[in-house]
Amino acid sequence: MADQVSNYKCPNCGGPLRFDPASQKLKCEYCDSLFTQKEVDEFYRQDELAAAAEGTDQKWETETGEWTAEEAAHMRAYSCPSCGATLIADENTAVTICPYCSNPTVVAGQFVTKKPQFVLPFQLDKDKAVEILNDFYKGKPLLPKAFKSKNHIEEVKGVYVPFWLYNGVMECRMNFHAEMVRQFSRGDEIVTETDHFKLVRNGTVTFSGVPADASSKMPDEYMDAIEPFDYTKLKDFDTMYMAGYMADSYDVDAEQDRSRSESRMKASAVKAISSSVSGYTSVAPVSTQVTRIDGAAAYAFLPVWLLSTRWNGNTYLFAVNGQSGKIAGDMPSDTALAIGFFIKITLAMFVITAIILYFIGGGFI
Amino acid sequence: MRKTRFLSTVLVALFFLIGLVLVPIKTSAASANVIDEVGIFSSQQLLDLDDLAYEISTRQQCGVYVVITDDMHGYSERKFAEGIFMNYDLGFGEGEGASGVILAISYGDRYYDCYAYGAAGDTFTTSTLDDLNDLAYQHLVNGDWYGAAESFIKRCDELLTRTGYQYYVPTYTDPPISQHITSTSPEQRRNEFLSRLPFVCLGSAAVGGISVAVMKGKNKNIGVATNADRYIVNNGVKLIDSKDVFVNRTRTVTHIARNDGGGGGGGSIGGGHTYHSSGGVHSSGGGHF
Repeated sequence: MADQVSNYKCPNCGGPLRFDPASQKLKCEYCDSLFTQKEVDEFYRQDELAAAAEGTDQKWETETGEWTAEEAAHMRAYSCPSCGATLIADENTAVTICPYCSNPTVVAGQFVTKKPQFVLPFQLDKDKAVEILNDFYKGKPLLPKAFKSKNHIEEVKGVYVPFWLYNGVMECRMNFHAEMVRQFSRGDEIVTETDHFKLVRNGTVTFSGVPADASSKMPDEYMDAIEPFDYTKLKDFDTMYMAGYMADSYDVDAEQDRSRSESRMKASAVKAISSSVSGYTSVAPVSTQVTRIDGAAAYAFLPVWLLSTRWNGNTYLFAVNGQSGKIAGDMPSDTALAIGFFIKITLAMFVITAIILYFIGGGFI
Repeated sequence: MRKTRFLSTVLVALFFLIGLVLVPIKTSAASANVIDEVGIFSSQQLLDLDDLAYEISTRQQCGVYVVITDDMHGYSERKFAEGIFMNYDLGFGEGEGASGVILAISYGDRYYDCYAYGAAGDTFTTSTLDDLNDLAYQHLVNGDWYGAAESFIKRCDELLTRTGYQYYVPTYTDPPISQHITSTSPEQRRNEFLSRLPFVCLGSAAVGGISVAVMKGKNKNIGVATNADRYIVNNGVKLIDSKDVFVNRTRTVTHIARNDGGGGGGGSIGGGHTYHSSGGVHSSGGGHF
């Protein structure tokens, strides 16, 4: 079992270790000790050697419930290496937190078959994510006051979201019809000359790292809205970065996600090639053909803080880019406030415009 | 507190607007030749002057007017006399056939100016109007309002007789008055204003709706990305083939319609002077006293 599920415990006090965005090291929640991955690995190696010498290797037993065939297909049960509690998770859970001992637990087995190539470590901590959410509430006149004042964040989760990062070269073949219009007067006549042109533009556009989230549980509109991520900070995958956060393995494979990224690349390729046409009075595309001539996808974990709140019986989700702090969310609007603003603005505009019209029109009193 | 202040401002503005619409328009004083809005003249003086001006106007078939206002009525100095003439619907004859000359005095601004319209423009040229201004000034500067009005009316009579003025309806090449502000009566302007209010209302509602939609949009910033512009690598756009091929040229010719009905400038009528094609003659400029 130890090769499937593991977590990080403090070599000093045994408390759970979590990845600390500020120091980019593993930090003990209880004694604040900082460790590198190498130091922790060395500790465990020594620990295992000592245990082997004493012949006290612990043998974990995993209880298996009676799942239905359907449930069993999608559920997995793991045993927490710290407290021995059984962790139930879905088939894609890669990193979770034990509900009994709060130890972050890495389901290492997930990374055997679905190991990410890269991970982008968290740069923002939980407090900062909450602060960003509170700032997000500002400057929103239609946000119900009770939502702001009585709103309690129910859950804040640091999640490594599985993404496919697509590289690709799009070949774009476009034909345009363009016109150049000249107008001049000659005697009592106005002459309009229109020159017609056929334009050909063939070219390639190279893309790097177009992201598409690979988890069916993550709403695409949230993940797209918190782009971009700075890929220069990407690291080779290491489970150390997972400590303290949640993670799921992908359940949308690269082939399934490809169409979404390709449609984005195609739109940008057409725009880029079209921008090479200039100097004409009017231009209209006649034909457009875009094909991918090269492509590859890399599997990466990108950091996202997910915050959820409840108001009036509804759950509102917010996603914060764990690196840049860019936030995306969908908040409620107060209908009464909206009507009030509509009436005030309409009335004010009416009065101002009418007064201006009165004076422009010369007045009549 | 802020909400109350805002609402009260809006309400005050609204009442002002309603007031503008509902306040009765000052009645046209077309029937009078001497109008004293300020009360400078005694009743007898006003009656005497009006009788004198009316008699001359009827005999000469050219309206002679003196109007004393309390202020400029929103007009610039240049447009003051013209605006008063038009807005009081003055002149002998109707509409474009109106003919007359006016001495307009703003009591509050101590400003005066003369203006002539229609056939009267044959007699009252710019230089003649300047002379009339000088004449009025000599009295006004001494506070002799009655003298200014009386001498103006009498001098107009002399000039009309001396130049052999005859009433006729001129044909104008331009609209009678180019400026909307002087070409429409207050009642017309009020009707125009009222007719525009429904559109103002609709436009305001549209602005209100758009503003609320923008505010509502601020509460939601999620959406599926449709392009990958930011992921194009540096120098990642390579044009392999770029051709601009000329196909053909088309040409359309439009004939320009010319107005052969004569020039739009001035015309030489009667006394041989040039007056504005819109029918009015200004002095070189009024003055303060």
